[in-house]
Amino acid sequence: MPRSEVKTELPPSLPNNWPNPSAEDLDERPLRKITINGDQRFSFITNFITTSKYTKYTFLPKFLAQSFHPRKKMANVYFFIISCMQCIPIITNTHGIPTVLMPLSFVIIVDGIFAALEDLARHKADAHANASKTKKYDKQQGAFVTVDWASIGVGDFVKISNREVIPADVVILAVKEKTQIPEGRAYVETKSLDGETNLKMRRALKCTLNQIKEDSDVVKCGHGEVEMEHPNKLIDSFKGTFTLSGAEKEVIDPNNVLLRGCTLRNVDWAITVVVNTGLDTKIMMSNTESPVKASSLEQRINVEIKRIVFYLAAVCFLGAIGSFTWKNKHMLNAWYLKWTDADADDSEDILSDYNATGEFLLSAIVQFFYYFLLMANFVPVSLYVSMSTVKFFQAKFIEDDIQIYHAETDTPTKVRTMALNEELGQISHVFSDKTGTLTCNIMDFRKCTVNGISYGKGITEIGKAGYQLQGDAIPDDILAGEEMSREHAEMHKQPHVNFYDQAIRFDLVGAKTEEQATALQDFFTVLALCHSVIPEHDEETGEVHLSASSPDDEALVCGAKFFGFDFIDRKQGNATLKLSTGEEKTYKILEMIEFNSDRKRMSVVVKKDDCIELYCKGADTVMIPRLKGNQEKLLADTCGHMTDYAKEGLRTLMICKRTLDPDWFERWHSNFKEASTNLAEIEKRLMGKRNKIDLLAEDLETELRLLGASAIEDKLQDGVPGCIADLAKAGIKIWVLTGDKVETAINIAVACRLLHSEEFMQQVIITAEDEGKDFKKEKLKEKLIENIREFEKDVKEAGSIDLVKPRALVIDGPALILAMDPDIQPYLLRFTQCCKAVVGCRVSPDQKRQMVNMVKTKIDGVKTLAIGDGANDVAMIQAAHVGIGISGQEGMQAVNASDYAIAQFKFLRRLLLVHGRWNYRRMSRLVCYIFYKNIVMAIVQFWYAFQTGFSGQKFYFEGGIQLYNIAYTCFPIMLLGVFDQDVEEKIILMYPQLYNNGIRDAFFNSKVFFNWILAGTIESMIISIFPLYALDNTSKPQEQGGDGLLPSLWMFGATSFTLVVLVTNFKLLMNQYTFPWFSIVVWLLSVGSWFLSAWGMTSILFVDFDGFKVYEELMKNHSYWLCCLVVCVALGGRDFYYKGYQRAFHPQLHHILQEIDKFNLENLDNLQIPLPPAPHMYMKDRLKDLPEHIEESENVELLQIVRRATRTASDLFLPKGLGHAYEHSDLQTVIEERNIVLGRSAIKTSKKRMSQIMFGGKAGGAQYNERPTPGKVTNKKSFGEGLDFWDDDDEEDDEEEDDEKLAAEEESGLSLVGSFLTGLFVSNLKEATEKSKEEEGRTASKSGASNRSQSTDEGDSWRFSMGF
Amino acid sequence: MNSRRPADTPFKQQRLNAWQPILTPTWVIGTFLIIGLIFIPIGLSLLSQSDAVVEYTKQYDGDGTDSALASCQITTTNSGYDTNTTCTVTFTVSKKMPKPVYVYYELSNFYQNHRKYVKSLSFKQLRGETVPSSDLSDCAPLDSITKTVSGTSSKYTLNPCGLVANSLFNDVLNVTSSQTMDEYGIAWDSDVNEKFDNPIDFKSSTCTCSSVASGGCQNTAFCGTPGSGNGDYDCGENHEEHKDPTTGICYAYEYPDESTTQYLYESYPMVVQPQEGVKNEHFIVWMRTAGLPKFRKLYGIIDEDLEVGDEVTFDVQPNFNVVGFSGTKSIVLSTVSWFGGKNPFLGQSYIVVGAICVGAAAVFGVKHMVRPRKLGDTRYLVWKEA
Repeated sequence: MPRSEVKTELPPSLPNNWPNPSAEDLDERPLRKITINGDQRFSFITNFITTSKYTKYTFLPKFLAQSFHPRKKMANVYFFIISCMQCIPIITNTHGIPTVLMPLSFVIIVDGIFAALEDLARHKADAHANASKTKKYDKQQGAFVTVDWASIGVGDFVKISNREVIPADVVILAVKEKTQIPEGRAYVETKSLDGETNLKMRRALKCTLNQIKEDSDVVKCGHGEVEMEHPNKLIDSFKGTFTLSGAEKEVIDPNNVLLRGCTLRNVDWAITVVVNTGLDTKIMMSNTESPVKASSLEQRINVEIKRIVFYLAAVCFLGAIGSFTWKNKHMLNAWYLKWTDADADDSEDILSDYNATGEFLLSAIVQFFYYFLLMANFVPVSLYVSMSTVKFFQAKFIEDDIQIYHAETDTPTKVRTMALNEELGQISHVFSDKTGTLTCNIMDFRKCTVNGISYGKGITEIGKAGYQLQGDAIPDDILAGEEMSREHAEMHKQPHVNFYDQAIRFDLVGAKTEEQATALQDFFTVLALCHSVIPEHDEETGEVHLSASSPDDEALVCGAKFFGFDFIDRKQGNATLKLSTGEEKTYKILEMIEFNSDRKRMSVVVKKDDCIELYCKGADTVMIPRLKGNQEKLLADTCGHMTDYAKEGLRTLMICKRTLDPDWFERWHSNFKEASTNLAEIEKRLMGKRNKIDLLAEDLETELRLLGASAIEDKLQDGVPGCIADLAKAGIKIWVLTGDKVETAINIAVACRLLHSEEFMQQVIITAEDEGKDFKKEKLKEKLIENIREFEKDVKEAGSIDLVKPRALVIDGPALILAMDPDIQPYLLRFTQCCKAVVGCRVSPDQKRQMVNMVKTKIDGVKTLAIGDGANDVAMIQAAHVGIGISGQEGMQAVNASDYAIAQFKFLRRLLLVHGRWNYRRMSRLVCYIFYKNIVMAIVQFWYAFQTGFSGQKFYFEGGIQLYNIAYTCFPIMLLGVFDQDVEEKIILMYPQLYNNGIRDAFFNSKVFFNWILAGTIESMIISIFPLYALDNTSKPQEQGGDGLLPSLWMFGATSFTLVVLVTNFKLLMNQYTFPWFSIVVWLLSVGSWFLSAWGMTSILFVDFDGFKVYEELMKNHSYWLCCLVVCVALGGRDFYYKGYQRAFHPQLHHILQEIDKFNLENLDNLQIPLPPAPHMYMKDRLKDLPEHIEESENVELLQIVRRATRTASDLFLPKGLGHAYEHSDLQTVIEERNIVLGRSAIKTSKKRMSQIMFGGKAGGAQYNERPTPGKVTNKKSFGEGLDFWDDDDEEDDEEEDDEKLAAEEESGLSLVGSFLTGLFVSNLKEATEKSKEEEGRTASKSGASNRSQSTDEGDSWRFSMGF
Repeated sequence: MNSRRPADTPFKQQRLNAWQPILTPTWVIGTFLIIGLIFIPIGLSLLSQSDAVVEYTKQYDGDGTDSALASCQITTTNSGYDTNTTCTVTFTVSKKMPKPVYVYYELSNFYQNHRKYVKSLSFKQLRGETVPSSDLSDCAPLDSITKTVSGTSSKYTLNPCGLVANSLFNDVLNVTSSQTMDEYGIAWDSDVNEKFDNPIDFKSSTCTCSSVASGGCQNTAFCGTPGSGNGDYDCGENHEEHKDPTTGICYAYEYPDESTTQYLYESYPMVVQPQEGVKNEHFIVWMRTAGLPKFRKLYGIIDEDLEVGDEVTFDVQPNFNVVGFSGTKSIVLSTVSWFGGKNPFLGQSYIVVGAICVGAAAVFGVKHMVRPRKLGDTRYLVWKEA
């Protein structure tokens, strides 16, 4: 921890003799020493927690301090100053009464109530936590007694029962297990900590494990000491030692520690000693307060308020100057104003005296402030209240939206930060977690290939999409298989299995050949034994729950069970299977070499009967080289099947076994045991160095006999590809950041249609592993620059950004660490801007945050959204402009840190495109309008000043001014803010392009704002001056008791104010699209309330002396109404004309879509929707800190090309290239989902188009970057070189490469294809490409409307590209 | 368990039926055309109404005054209130003026709407409440004046105080030709009845004039003894008597605190009769401050038709100084129309707005004919560049 951070806050616990440490001391403070069950030498904090912000007494001062924070609550401060000014007699226009305090205090009280309620909830939660019960050892009674959590102290013994929540960070001394032989194992569920639901194993300390058998035994451990690190937030680390008096030190590792908030499982009890309490515990330390987020619109408002205040000051200054000049001129002669004693003879002297004493200046300054007060309403006091109220209801409607309610989990969408409602409409980058967000994180055993025979019928959704894209019908037998499979799965209700193939049942019992039966049995035995799943026995039902850290493992075990190889128990080095015959068979597990991302395989050595066998499963890339010879046919078949599986998006693992010679194994085992307990070797292994353990493992895992391969489906969540396609269409860039391996990440990205095969998308894969140990910054930088250059060159050559093969970046965590270097970051950023998709693999939570922060801070105008479901996403969720948590699944961390919680990724579409877009438009209108209406109202009085010698005479009644923002103009705009829909949701969902306006901030930017203010200024001038002439000389008509009395000052003012109310209200109508009945009623009531209250208030002498009876008289005056009518028509007509003109001659997308919707225009098939330029596709001009030397002169030209390209129209069904490769992704789904009847010919067209789209590629590895080389059986091109793209690929004969290189590649850890498959794949692909070219040519000649002639042949070949 | 499923109602799902107007060219053209076609006739009729108003204006003081009216002009900037001179302003009617004919005085360059001026009054005082002089700060510097009465100068509170009340237009106009000018009913009834009132302890009553020389009431019967049922008025105390010069009726009146207060009738004896006080309608009209520096205020009503060739002669006693602020004074005779006096502006504005609307409809229509846009056609769609 850097020193500076230490300085800011003292740690909660300190040694007793360190009462006031200096910051420097803290680094040197001794380790925490805990006396077990005794008096402590340190002062530790208690286990009492407080997370609330206020107490009864601190609430008021703290809250007020927050409410008047000069930077965050500028408006409040402004109005407070205004209210103070209103009390100064010389400038007051309200008789010294601070009238503005009334609305201000209302605003603050509303805020205060919300804050208080929120804190009350925290108080309750704290109280609940503090009052939870646990058992603590009481020395006096010599037994465990039940106490509150709050009363636990450091060093106490605590006994935790099964399924009890752990009250503090504790070290396990002993556990009572369900097994007879004590191994000291406890299991813990860490859901609340990291969101993972699988059980994790923890161990008791060895030295105490056997000493404590029952409660009273704790005294044996009564004298000891724990020496440990100071509290920190690192959940996976713990450093400390445990010493019993007289015994040796034992190291406490993280496995010995139970953390507060977790749940103990699978043991009867655990006796533990408390080491961290209360706020020192890891969970509390890592509970950083989530940052308070304000939407960028709100931040923008602050900027605009500053400008508005500046404008106000300018106006006041003008007024003061005018007043100064006028006074100078009229001071002597306007005797009726009594500035001087006009009777005096030396009046000239008086004037010069007056000037000399600076009184003129003083009076000008006073006048300035007087004007300031007069027009204080420039800054709308009601803005924040209106905004929060509107946002509250917007949030309500989001939560009430049934289409983003998840019925299966009964989870509606939850709005946690309503301040961001409109930010949802402006998202430019989505950062998504993978597991649990894009996928369900539920694996299903789907298919398998055993001994060259593929089992499992049916087809996955991804597979179906493939057929659709090819335009082929899915073969009936496959569909039938899928149907059966689903029925079967439902019938058997076997979790994690979705398998149907009767053949396998027969084959298992030898229907085909005996050999096949044995192979199948072996296959499933491996699946049932080679895993790290922990069975959990439910005592009541006797059922076994599987708890696996890897959902893949769980699915495989379930798959094995489905075929009668039921893994039921794992005890004392034995694994028990229950066979379909009912027989229980126990295998002795001799050794287990666990899976890790380097090895990509897992092995167990099992003693079966008398044989010793090695079972191994792993990725094909690592398994193929370890196979023994003479299996080519089998390997080819298996790989063929695996490719098929991969196309369907299934995750494949190769399953192998090897029979071991017992003697050899004996020797090997002793070596291995020795090596794996050798600390030096362990250290080496941890450092990633060559070590004996791995070498020995290599020795074991060789000469493998291939059994087959399994295929697991990690189901994408419902509707994910469609959602992603729509988001992309809307112009949103999607980054997938995941902790997963590169291959897995790519697989899913492909399945989500973020990535496409190399044919259609150039993938740039940067992994540190790949580059080896000497991967240096310089190299990374070079690589990035090279890629940027290449992209720019391509763009230049192609002439349009749309015609360039899209890029995708896949980068892993270690490489990212380098890339985050300030030196390289700009290049990385720059390249990501060239990319259609970015996939970050193996990134830590903090790196996720860094990525988000990088984009957020380094590119102007981006709005980031992070979505995730687990604790590892919290950092990113908090960092992003908008954080979204996936709720209803596991863990609450992500949800608790999020601003919005949705149940499914696909809801994002509706949340952003519909609610976000609406809300952004509504809020933009609301903010502009509220500023506008206040400016109109305030500045009228300034214009009037020209008639009053710049004296700043008030023009209105105070009552009108006060009610203006509360009654006359308040509710209609709020209804607009909550209900207005410019385009109906079904249309929005059909044309996500509509969203693009939000990304470009088209509805609320300085220009839009300025236009509103300008309109307000001009309109107010007319409103101010017109009545003075229109009403001049007019009087009531005879029939109204006309008496020839002419209007006075207050009648002009009253007319102007009426006009202000009418014009602003009519303006609202011009900016509203939908008028539900209540909105019309409220509008009428608002306007009516003005007339009513104006009449009412001026009818009471005591309310307004000046205005007494003014309205009653005025309303009898015909010219009043005539004046109102003509001004409203003139000013409203301008808007009307402008809006009509815009629609008729410069229509925007929403205009056209409104028309289509409203008039049911049947020409949807002719509807050509040009796609907006993807705003961040190539925004180098928006990048800050742009590296110098990429800026070459050609870039200017390049940008022009880009601009030109983005202008050219392209249509919905014939996308103009790479920007729109997503178009087709999900058309069928889109059509179905939206339930919209497209014109028949549209569907025909789209089908034709789809048929042109290539479907090809395969999943299962990151092989897309390889150039398909037909006929080659092996492809040894390493990934590092594979990065060097297409063009660089020379035709060298791969077979000539030496074995050393082969080995090196395999260690590089990226899966390669068994590429003899690619031959097939590529020939398919070529054919299809040819076809699509032809087809394209034909359509192009037919269609004249769109400017398609630009597209080159090269472009055509990939522009309809879809594939894997 | 309660489901958290949101209710599927049109309201909650934001699927309410709503009116969604779309500004199609037809709508725009049609609307403008209709508005234009309505507005232009309105404007024309308003204009003709305004033209029908007969209005005569005669400036009698200030720059540009006809030399024939030189006698009406006040030349010194510091003249007192009572000039004791009269002059004559004569109007010859050349167009028939149907009754009622309103008589206005018009001032220019007089900023009755100046903030310092407008706020300079005490509405409590005007309503007749007793206001301590310390509460009259709004009226400063005209909250009180120093007056020398019989050698001793002392401070008098002004009632009503302030700039407005103490700059009352105090020219006296009298019609000396055959017509009669009514000077009552020129202010709003509400103002006369509710807004302005004399001090609480003000008392007045008519009485019989016995001797012009004494100028006072001789009818002792009027002065009853307190409690005798003849009013509570005690003639024996501080009451004063006064004969209204225009009506010839005599009044007995009593103002409270006469010795420390200067009342309106004392400030403007030519205009305000003591028995009226602040209920004087000229005063009330004056107190309704004007909106522009050039303004007219009603002075009187001639409730008879003026035929062509009739002459209306005003005897003017000029007291109000306009030279000081370079202003002018005029007398205006005017008839009224449906919406008041002469005001061509309103009619013109209707015509202009109507014409613009028709023009807009035409421009829009032409453009629409030349380059129509098919609704729902996106070929015209232009993406604004980011």
